[in-house]
Amino acid sequence: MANVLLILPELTIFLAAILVFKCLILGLSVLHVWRVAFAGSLLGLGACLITLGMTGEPFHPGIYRVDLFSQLMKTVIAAALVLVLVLSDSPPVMRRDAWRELPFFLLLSSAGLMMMTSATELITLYLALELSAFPVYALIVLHRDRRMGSEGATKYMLQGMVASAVTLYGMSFIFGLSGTTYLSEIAAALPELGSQPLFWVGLLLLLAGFLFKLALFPFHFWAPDTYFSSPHPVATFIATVSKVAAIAVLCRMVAVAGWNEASIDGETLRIVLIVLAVAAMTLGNLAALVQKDFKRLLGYSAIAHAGYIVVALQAFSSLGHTAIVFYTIGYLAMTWICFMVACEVGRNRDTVPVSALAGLWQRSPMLALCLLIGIFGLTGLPPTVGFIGKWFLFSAALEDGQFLLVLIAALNSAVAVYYYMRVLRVAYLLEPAKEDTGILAPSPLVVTGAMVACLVVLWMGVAPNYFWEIAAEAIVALGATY
Amino acid sequence: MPLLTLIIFLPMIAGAILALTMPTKKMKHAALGVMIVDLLLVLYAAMTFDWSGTFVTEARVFAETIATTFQHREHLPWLPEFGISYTVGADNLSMIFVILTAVLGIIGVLCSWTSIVHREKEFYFFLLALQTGIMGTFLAIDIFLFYMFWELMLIPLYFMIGNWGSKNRIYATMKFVIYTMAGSVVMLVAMIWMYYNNGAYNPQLGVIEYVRSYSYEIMLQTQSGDHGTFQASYFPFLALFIAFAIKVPLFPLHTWLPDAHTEAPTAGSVILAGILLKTGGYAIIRYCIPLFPDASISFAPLITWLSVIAIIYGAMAAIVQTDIKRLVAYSSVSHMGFVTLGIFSFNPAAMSGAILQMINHGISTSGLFLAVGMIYERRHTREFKEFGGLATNLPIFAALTMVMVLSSVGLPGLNGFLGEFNILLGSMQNYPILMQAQDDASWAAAMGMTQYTWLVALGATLGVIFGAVYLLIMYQRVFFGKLDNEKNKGLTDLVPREWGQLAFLAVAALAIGLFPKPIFDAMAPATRTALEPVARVLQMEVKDKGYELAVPGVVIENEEELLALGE
Repeated sequence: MANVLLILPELTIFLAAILVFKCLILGLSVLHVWRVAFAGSLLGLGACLITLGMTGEPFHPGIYRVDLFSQLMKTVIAAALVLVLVLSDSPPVMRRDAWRELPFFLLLSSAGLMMMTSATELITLYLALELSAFPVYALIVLHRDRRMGSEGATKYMLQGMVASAVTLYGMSFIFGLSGTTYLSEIAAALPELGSQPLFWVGLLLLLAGFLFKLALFPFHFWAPDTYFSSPHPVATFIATVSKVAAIAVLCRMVAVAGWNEASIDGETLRIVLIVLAVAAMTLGNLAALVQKDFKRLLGYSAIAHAGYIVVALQAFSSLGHTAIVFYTIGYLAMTWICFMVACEVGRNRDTVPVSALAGLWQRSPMLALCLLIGIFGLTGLPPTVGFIGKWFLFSAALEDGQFLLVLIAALNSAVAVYYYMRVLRVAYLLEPAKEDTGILAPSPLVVTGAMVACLVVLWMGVAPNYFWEIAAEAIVALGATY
Repeated sequence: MPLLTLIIFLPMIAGAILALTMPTKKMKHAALGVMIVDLLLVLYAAMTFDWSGTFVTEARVFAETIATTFQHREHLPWLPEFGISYTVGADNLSMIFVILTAVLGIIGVLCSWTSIVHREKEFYFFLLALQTGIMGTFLAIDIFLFYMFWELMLIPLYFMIGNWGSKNRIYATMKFVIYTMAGSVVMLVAMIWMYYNNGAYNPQLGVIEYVRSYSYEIMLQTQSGDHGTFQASYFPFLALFIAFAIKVPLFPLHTWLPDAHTEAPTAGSVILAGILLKTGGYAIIRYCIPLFPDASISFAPLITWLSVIAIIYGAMAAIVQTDIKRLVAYSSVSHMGFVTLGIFSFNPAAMSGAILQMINHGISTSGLFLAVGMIYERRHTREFKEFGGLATNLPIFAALTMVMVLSSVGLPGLNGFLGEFNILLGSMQNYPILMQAQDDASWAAAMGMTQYTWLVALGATLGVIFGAVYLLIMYQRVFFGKLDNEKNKGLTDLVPREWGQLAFLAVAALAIGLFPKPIFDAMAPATRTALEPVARVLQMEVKDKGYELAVPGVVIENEEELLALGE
């Protein structure tokens, strides 16, 4: 019984997905299906909160670990899922016949993502990765503009498939060298394994699938295109929920391989990560400068943020990991806010060009204010979490003496100011275009979600203590395992 | 009573509440009320303030007890595990600027009274929020908190220029934000660097003892002692200095200023010129010089020359402008060049001249921007060629503007003269010892170009003369001559609200010019604290050459100890 309680979050989400599927078969209306899914995601969030303090291994030892780290990440995933579902109530940008299926796929993918955060065995990890990926491939195609949908889906799927194949390839290296797929055993054998270059090659290949989800250079090509051509709620899901799980896995893998003092060759991994971080930040920010589409711009900004996260990841320290967990929570809220605005503004549009935001302060002061908070967060201006989170990330790298890297990151965030401010300029300083002067009225549910997200962004920015402590405890729990 | 916290946050919080509750028409009255209350609080703080410079008290920074010279100090742990606290406090330096800010805040509301007609609520909210950011910048004594307020200043101005500015406003506001942000992100890296490297060498134990803290007071203790770990660090000094120099603005980082000043609404220009530029100068005196005396000395020649270039270049650029507001904007570049020149002369006269110059610039340039705003409100143009002979039908306006112009030119008897004179005097005396020790090759090398101090002073003096040229030409073209433009004939003279603002500034200019002693007395302790670390660094070198004091007028306590440490 205790074991069932340990996997309560995943179970709840899974059952909700199955229930939604049943509703689909029964032919319930869109609204009902959505309500069932929303209730299920809320229950899932509750289940996460219940299991937040629990530790244990529900299945065969070594396969699946439940601890504060995994449960915290699951809570974040569940919360983000609730927020995405808030936006997924019959979006006009999707094919009408797909409205009912949208919540089902979202729930299914989230269940996979939750499993990723707990998986401590390579095959389990791979299965969770695939489970989380397939529903999303299906969702992108359901764009009402079929050409656009299939283009986005093809790009995402082809690259996703390649990335997960590479991951599998890397896993085979590691299995071949160590004879085990259990992370704990790999960690124990690290002093021996670490001296073999092939192990590090394998590890890097393994990370590919997750770096792909995070949209880090050189696995970033899909992000702007997919964000651009996915239906808005689906893009929101890809940009928020699926990032969390990828970050969780990266944290876990680096904790396994990098923290161990015996792994002198961990330096190789670090150099690769540094190079990737610099490339991602620079490329993401420079490319974002010239974007005309809001979602595409957010795609490039996501690449840049993946870079910032890796700046702290390469420190191989508990401070760095804590900073990443902290920043992830904040990043999620900020990104969701921006996508929420994109969803609302682009309700009847296939794409959301930046110019569509013109005069937003007249059309909906509420949305304009949300956009302000979200964009300030992504820019890294106080008093938002974007500032203090970035400051934690930079601190972690500087503690480690990576002075030049932090300087590059800081200069990058200065470059980013231009395109973020350009968005605000359009929203606040320009008059609305003639064809869309109508008042935008987001539904009460969206308003509530936006208020919660804005509150999180500001609260974490002004009084980060509480979140920081939880993140720190989670990382202690993660570190205790290896 | 948390006096300083109240002074800092009252404008923004009251502004937010008022913007949500007040009817649009009443917003400006409410904003004026808030600014007046804020000024009263500031005056109360100033009256209960010990200006003598002898104030020292025991205070807590987290668990530690330290001696501090900051008054009205408030301390709350914020992120204790990172050594970050909410600490605000005032010393002579910050108190002077806080008073200036509170006064100009009121003028900022008054000059927008009729010129801001759309989205009034937002405008006054941003004006009040800006006040909070500036007050916080002057009063924060935790560098992390300082950074927060420093960034907070940016956001309201972005919207003020972008929404209520003139034709080219969007270009100007983007340029302003990008310049400032570029400076401040590098400053952020420097601050984190300072956190991890804050420590002093302990000669007894032979190790560096690190103190992880963002508290300025703690940094000052570890750094202004001897063998602090920042001392030979050029990177953080440069990073901070560039961020501050962008705000000042120092040539060649000044190019945002003419655009931002010209496009901003009058209140924006007044606050920008009057206070915002001062945060740069203030921060250099507060952070760069005491925390990095070694690096300050090393870069002083370069900065001195850049200042001279700024003085002359700003003046020359002002001469050729056809837009009155742009002329005043370029004059800011020139005048603020004196400030950095004075600061980096490391001389009490020049330092107090620099502080006074900042106050003067706050008074006279704000006055000029007000005057330009008043003309613009009447004619909706700022081109010289549209004007001429305004003295005939706007006599009050002409007279008051004359005072502002003369104060800006530096006429003896008005405030501008004292600041510039002291800076020139100080920079002429710059390193008198070094000038005598010119034959010493190592000194000359270390000091770079400082043996040409007379050239510096000469350049700066030229700047003063140019200043007279462009300002008087402007005055002549606008106010003298025949009133030949038909459109100007119907203009009405100032209403009491308008001439009240100008008259107030004129009286202030006259008061400082005629009775400067109280201000100099108030500045003296600030000058001393800022220069002491530099003097300590120079002292050891100077002793060998048989001179008494490295920086004239700054006596170092415990000198024997210092020299013993040096050996």
